[in-house]
Amino acid sequence: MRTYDETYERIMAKKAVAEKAIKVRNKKIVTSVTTISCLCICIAAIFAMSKARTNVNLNKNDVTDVYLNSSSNSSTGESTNNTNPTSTTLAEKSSTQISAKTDKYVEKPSVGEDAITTNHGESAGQNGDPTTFYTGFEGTHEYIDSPHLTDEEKENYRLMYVRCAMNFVDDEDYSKINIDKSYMKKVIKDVNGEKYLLIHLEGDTFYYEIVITTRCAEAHGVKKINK
Amino acid sequence: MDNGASSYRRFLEGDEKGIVDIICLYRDGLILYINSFTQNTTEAEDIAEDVFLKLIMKKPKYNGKASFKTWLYTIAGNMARDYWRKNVRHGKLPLDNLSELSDEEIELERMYLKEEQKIQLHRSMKKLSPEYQQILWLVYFEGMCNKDASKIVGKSVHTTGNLVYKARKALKTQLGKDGFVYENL
Repeated sequence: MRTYDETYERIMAKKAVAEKAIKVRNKKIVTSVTTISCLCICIAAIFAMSKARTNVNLNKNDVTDVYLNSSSNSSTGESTNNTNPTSTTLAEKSSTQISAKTDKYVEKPSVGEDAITTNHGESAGQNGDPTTFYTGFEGTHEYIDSPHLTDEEKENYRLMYVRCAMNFVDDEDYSKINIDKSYMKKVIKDVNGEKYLLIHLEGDTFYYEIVITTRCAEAHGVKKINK
Repeated sequence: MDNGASSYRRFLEGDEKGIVDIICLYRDGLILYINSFTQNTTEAEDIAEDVFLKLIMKKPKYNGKASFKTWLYTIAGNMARDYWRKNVRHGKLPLDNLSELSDEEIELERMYLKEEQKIQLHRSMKKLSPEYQQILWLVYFEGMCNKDASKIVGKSVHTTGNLVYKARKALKTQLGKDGFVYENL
């Protein structure tokens, strides 16, 4: 049988243990909350960095993966007597600017009605040469109006690709592009394991055909193409 | 005499001596009461300590609706019942030696009950079922009325009255078997 003093001491000892257990529990709760907060911050930081990196890659892709074939409307044969100086200036300016970005990789395309035909046919098969790019034009062609694409997908692709393409046109030209008249002309697949898209941009006074990789398109949020 | 209410109030106000007074006043009675659940004096001592620890750690509010003694025994009864349920479930309670008194219990009953007559009564009571032991302890040894005892055992006053009656009858029979006659019952 315990004495009163022993009982009191035992109670105080139990009290100390209980208080310590409460402290440990509170510490664990604080640690858990802190850990979760840190994880959330880390995830947010990683997400932000990832997003920033995507933007950087996007800019890089913009320069390296795009070939712009531009011409004025007069060059398409629709209006051979276009006297609007602005339109000529815009087309030339665009062509020059895009070429400046891409001439490291591709030959400056010929301008004219047969630009596409020429591009498709020329410069095939030189490894390491920037013109190797064009060999892909001999691959399988899949048109934007293919039955496997829904109307919504077509519209979605068109707008997204146009938005991609417009990254290569300076601000002045950007405002001149008529999106309603722009469309994705072709989806060209299996070019050296990379998919390329051919986009038709038509402004009031000019006309562009742009080849862009799906990688670049996807970087702009475009979905992968369903086969 | 407030049976410890003022001591508890002092303790809540920061006077550590208040809880010491409560321990001195109620420890032995609580142990003997809890022992009717545990059938083990050491366990009963531990549970009684836990009752006081609960007062110290959680500082439950005593609202004065019942006497402090009733309130304290209610806490003790609840904790003892928890212990009993837990140990019955795990088969830890000794069921074969319920009526045997340990040396510690003998010492405790001598300290607390003092009178030989009460000690004999307690020993006969120990041979009854735990439920009878608990109610008889509250009514005859702690001097509680049926109303207060009903709060502690968690039953209605009417049920408690019936229980007291049956327990008393069983105790009379047991006393007869043990060779005693307790006419005041």
